[in-house]
Amino acid sequence: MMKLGRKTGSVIAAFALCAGVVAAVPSASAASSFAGPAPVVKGATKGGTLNIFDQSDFEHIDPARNYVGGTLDFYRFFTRALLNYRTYEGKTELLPDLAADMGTASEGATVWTFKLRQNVKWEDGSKITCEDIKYGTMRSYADDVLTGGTTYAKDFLQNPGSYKGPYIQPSADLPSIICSPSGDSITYKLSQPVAYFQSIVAYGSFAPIKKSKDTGVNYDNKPFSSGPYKIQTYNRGKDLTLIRNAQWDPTTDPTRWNYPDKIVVKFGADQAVIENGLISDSGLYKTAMSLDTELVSGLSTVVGNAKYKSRFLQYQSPYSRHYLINMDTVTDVNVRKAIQCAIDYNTVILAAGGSNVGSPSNSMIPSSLSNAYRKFDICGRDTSKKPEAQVAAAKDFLSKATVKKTDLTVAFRDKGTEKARASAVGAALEAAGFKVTLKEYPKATYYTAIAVRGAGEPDVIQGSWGYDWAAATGIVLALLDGDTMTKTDAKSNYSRQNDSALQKLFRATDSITDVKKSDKALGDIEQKAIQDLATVVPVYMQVANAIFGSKVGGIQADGGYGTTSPAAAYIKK
Amino acid sequence: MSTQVIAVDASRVEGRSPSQMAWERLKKDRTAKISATVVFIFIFLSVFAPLFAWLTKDTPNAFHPETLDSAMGALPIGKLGGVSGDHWFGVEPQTGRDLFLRFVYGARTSLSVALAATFVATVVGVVIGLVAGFFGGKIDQVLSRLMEIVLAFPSILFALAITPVLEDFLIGRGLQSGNGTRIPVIIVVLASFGWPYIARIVRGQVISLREREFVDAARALGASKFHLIFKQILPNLWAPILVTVALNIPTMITAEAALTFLGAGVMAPLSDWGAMLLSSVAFYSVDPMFTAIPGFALFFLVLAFNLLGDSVRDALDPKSSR
Repeated sequence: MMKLGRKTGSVIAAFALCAGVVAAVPSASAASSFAGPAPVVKGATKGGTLNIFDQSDFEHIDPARNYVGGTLDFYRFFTRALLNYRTYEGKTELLPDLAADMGTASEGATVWTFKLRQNVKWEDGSKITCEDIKYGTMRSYADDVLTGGTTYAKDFLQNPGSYKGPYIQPSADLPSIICSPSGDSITYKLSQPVAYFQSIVAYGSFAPIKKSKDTGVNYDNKPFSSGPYKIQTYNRGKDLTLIRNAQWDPTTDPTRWNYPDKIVVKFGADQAVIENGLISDSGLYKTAMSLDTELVSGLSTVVGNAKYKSRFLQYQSPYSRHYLINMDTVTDVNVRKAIQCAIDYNTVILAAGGSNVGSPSNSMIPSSLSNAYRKFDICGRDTSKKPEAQVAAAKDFLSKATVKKTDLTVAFRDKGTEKARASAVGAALEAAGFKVTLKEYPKATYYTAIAVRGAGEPDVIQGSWGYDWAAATGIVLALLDGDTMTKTDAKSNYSRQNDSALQKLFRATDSITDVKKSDKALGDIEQKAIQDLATVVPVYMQVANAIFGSKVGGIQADGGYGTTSPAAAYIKK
Repeated sequence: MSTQVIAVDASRVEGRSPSQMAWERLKKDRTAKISATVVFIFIFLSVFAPLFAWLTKDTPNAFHPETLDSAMGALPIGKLGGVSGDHWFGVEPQTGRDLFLRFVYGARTSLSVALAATFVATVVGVVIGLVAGFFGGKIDQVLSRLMEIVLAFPSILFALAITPVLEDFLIGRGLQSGNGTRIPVIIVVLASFGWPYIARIVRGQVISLREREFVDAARALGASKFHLIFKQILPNLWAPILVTVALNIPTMITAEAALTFLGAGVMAPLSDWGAMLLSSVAFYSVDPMFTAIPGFALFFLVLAFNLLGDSVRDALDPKSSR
């Protein structure tokens, strides 16, 4: 499960990504484009220091533990994986990174084999071997020591011996990962068909780790570099300095650039300080950007002002912001439909910051996923044309309900505009005749707390979701599949959806390995869940607004992770 | 401030009680008058908050999307944060809620929490101070150490930590989550850090009073301890208690606002100055009016209460002033 509200998948180029990369294994004729180096960024020059000002330190930069959008993008400066997303001139592609091809699937997509590049080196000049890649994945099994990170390796790889990671079982092997005798290819044996396995191996649990350099939990403070930069100093909570890694050979890497000599990340300033610094473009901010700070209060200053045009980046991110209705506590479908009708799209989007922050949506699936996205009415109206609350309809549904639950608890995080949005929803629900309690949760534990089943569950949950890969499997299956729940934990099925008819449809999609087909089926399921069961009130898709210094070039919206990316950044002379 | 010289009118020499004299002094103190007026205005606003809601046909929680510019970061349309005939103090960015109503309803929250917390702290403090001062010995030792321990706590930090814990505990005992539980918890937490200030002053006064002749006389006549404490000593303490109360209220107001600002105070959407300040931080450069309203409100109310407290002290005990 992805970190909600933080990690996102593909952005503008999701369309291309979905059609060209995830859906099919590229043909052999594409092989020549798999060679390094990456195409030259227009106008880019080498040298200089890129400054990054962030509000908070990275949670983890250990590849096995990192699962946060901005960090997933950033840590590629010193971490290579089997495959990697490259966003170049607005187009995002998934390309071989340590692999030499896009991999071949066999046995109904349960066995995946990737050829490996030769002569790729660690920062100390030693060769990155197939064993290093295998060890990196094996290490991600040690979730007793290494908290956080994706669980994909554990979820999908066969594990007949119940392997528990190299710290508990130092001499055990994970037989589902096979290195060829010559070390020029790696094979993964999966426990189920995974059509989108290529997107999975772009994650950190498929990055190499050199066993002799593995320092366990402390690896998070100084990962051993395989990318174009290496860590010079890292003071947790204060700053991180990256310098060039001379052992990185651009001819082995079609997905990375290294224009600045040095990258310095400074943590700990406030939202307003970073925002105002970047807008004013003074001192170090001339050569700076931020990974975790978007324009909020300064948006009105920047939007529509030609002065800022060259250093302002607005892009649609695939984040859905929505309200999940707890089907365990709000049992009557008419009450849920009343909630759907009562929510005012206008006030919620305004509370988020207005039309530059979000555009009304009827689905949790971004419209860029054209096979999965369906345009349909919620509460009998097109929400993008008629965003106002439908109070009369809400009251009507409420009067039809047999289990009249009118006392609602709305859960939200203590972060950003979440309180304003929750207040907007609270006011709208009260206008329709509900009695609302707003319940604030600490942001660090929000998604764990709201998934706990039992006493004190919230009724309406303010949520957000960005997919891990550009397919409906990463959205609908993750958010609405009732079979993932346990008695005490709703997992990421926050609305506790467990309708037997819908579950049948879900199980029917399990055997579909073709992404187009599964997208279509899951799109239908989502429409049923929203229109018939009223499990969710999708409200808007996030728009991101970033500003950077006047001396920085090459800042772009990353298509792989939906963040403002420094991957192709350079310092103007 | 300088103490007023009491004019002695030779033609009207008559006996006046200390309280009458204090009242005379207070009436001649201009600072006292001004600060009392400010306090009165705030109390008036908070008591009659619903009247303003009725007058403007609005509520503090109603959203007014039409007053915001969606393309400009949902900031208020118009000058000074959207000040208009309908919205006297403008509207809140991103929600369009009326700031005047949020201000007066916020005064309600701030004042009622602060007054309630001061009341609880005063009752507890007076009782403990009386007991410690009157009985002395071991009881005094224990109670005095307790006061010192509580005073040594970093109160805001501790309140920040204990409020959610206490609330969770109460919710676990079957209470509803919401302001109905949160506000009493805040009052108790604030009071539990406020009582030692009063208790210490009361204790000191009691120690000096308990050996006085009138107490001895009552004791010789066989009065009970309860009678001695509450009927003989307590009536002589109202002056220091009043001063402490007057100076405690502004502390409680700031503490409540700070607690809400830091996220452990009253819950949204209830209006509160601390909450207003918190949500205004993101907009101080683009909509300074939003920050100014709760900021100046807190500033004036706390200043007025402090000056009033000083004046009351000067009036009750003219010797203590400069």
